[in-house]
Amino acid sequence: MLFQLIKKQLLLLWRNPVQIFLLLGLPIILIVILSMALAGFMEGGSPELELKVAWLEHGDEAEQVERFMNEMEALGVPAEAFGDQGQLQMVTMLREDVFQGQDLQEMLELEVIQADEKADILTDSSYSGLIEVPENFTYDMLQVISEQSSEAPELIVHVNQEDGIYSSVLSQILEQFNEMMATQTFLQQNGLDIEIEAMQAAASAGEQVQVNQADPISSQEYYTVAMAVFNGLYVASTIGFFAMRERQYQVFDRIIVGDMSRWLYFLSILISGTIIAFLQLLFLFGFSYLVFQVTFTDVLALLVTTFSYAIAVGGITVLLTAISYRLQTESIIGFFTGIVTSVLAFIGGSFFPIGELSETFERLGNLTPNGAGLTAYIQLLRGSGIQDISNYLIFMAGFGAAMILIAAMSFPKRGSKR
Amino acid sequence: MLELVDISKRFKKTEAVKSLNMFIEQGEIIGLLGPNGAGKSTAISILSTLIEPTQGDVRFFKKSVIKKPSPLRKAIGVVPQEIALYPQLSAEENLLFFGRIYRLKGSELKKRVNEILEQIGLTEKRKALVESFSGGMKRRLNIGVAMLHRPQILIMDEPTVGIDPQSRSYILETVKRLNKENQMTVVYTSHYMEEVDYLCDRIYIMDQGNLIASGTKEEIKQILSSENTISIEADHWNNAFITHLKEHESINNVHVEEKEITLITPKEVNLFTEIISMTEEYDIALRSLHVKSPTLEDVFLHLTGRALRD
Repeated sequence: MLFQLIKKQLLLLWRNPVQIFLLLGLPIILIVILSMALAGFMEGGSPELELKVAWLEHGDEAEQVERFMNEMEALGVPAEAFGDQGQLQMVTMLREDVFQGQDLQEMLELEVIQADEKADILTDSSYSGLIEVPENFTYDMLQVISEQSSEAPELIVHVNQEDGIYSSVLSQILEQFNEMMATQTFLQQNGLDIEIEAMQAAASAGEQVQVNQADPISSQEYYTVAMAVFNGLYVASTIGFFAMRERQYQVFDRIIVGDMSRWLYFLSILISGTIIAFLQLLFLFGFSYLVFQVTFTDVLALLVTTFSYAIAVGGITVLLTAISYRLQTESIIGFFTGIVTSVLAFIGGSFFPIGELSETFERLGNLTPNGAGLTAYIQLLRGSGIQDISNYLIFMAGFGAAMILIAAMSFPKRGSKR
Repeated sequence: MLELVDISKRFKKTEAVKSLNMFIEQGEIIGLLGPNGAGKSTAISILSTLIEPTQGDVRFFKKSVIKKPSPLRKAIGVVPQEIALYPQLSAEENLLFFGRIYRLKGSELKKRVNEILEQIGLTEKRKALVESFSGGMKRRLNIGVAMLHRPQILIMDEPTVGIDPQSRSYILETVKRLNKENQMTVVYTSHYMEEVDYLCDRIYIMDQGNLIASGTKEEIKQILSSENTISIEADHWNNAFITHLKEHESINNVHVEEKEITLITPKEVNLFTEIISMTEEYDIALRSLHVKSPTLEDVFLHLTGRALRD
């Protein structure tokens, strides 16, 4: 009997293309649009840039360093005071560690040129800029650092003004390097022994942290789970709406007069809501897997999480049905669809990761079933296991149980009143 | 067989049914007649165990079914006022679904579905979705579903509302046939006097929650045995004429329709000549004037001062 009631609900949904579209088509459209549109926002705002920069070096840096060391030695300063000579080759360091380093290699192509190519490069619009290292740059800079001179040399940077953002990025990179050199000079002059390499390492470590924050989840992954839990809520209103129609058209009365227990009917609404939400979420995850390669490595954890969330949706479904039966109006379902769902989606982080704004929002979001579901799925995508998300699973199942309990207390004793 | 004993039902401030007593014997067709809002549907809902009365008892074979409705539920088939079907399912799917609700299974269920489709003339439309059906076809299927499990008592709540005359006639004939061939007890509510007059052995007339008359058709019509029902037909009326009739001391009731006025008068008073004079006086072009046999409509008019469809 229960099976017949559930089968009927599934059949009614299957014969309702508008509802099918709203439950399956719309979230797919939202996943595609939002994950594309907000990819930059989600992935730390790194735009895809491709800079082509020319590098022209006048003079031999190794020779300049050697010359400087010889002079220092003549003045009675031992070579050991300057540590490894390689670290004094700051131009090489700028070229190899910064411009050709790991962090910039994907967005910057550096081409070392000869002096006779300079004129051509300056007229070639495909280059975002030309960095020219003057004759004796390293020697002059070492003189400043060792307080033999106060006039700091400067790199000559030719930027392509038509290339807006690219030339700006280039200028920023050099500014950053200049700041680092100035800091190093200050530290050296004040007897503090911190070297360029160490500063770069520190800077690199900082960047790595940033990468770790943004890297684990892509916009496709985020919006797949965000839209899945958001649209899962619509299952409740869809099934609640079907149930309300059954009451209005006295089909519910007919079922009750058929001597069927109202609890069996109640259970059929609960199970239908749970099954449909479960299938809907798996469908959406399947879609994202095929199209965006959004992959949950722990399939069992995925199924358990989806089932927990489906129970929460089932609980909401049966509560909506019970309240609308008791109040004899479908406006409660309309209110849930139009307002409550959107509020839950906002607080739960389905539109954007609101939890990153403040801890309060994060805590509040996790107190909604969709927010808890979203957090659980994100953790799964980041490689966590069932145990790591067990509190969210318990919350969702508990939420569902609470809804079922309230619904059972509200469900009318007999048929519809007249 | 089935009794309503001193039933009252109150919804907040409205008393929908007041101290209703009713008994139904096996094999008879009972009519529950009254205008909209008379309390018929509430009475039917109590009889169907869908709502509990505020006071009173419902007894099926002398046993109360208010707290334990199961025996009565198994014995009744209810045809609700609404089309209580799933529009997105086919006629056959609806019958199969409700058949299973009535605990029919396997070949028995299939056989019954085929029989019902045959009875209601929808065999060829069995695969069509109900949403594509005409109003009459939906009504027939609505009745068919209630008959699936061969109920002892068929309770029909205004089953002919909003359908064409052909379907209406089909439904009335079906009810008559079910009663005759299967000895099925039928409780039939309507505000169409002629339907109840045609179908029912006994009639309960309700108005504003009260039972105002009950008995066989003949017994009820006897209420008017001391009165005459006079029908006056003309192309138009004027207000002065109607006022005159209403103020006449020998006329008990005046009901005005577009081209007909019905008067209830004491049998011993002959108003024929006077009415003819009045029509001349008020310049009414009289088309006919005759004494009618009393109808249930006339009884209702006599008892309430209003027509059934007012």
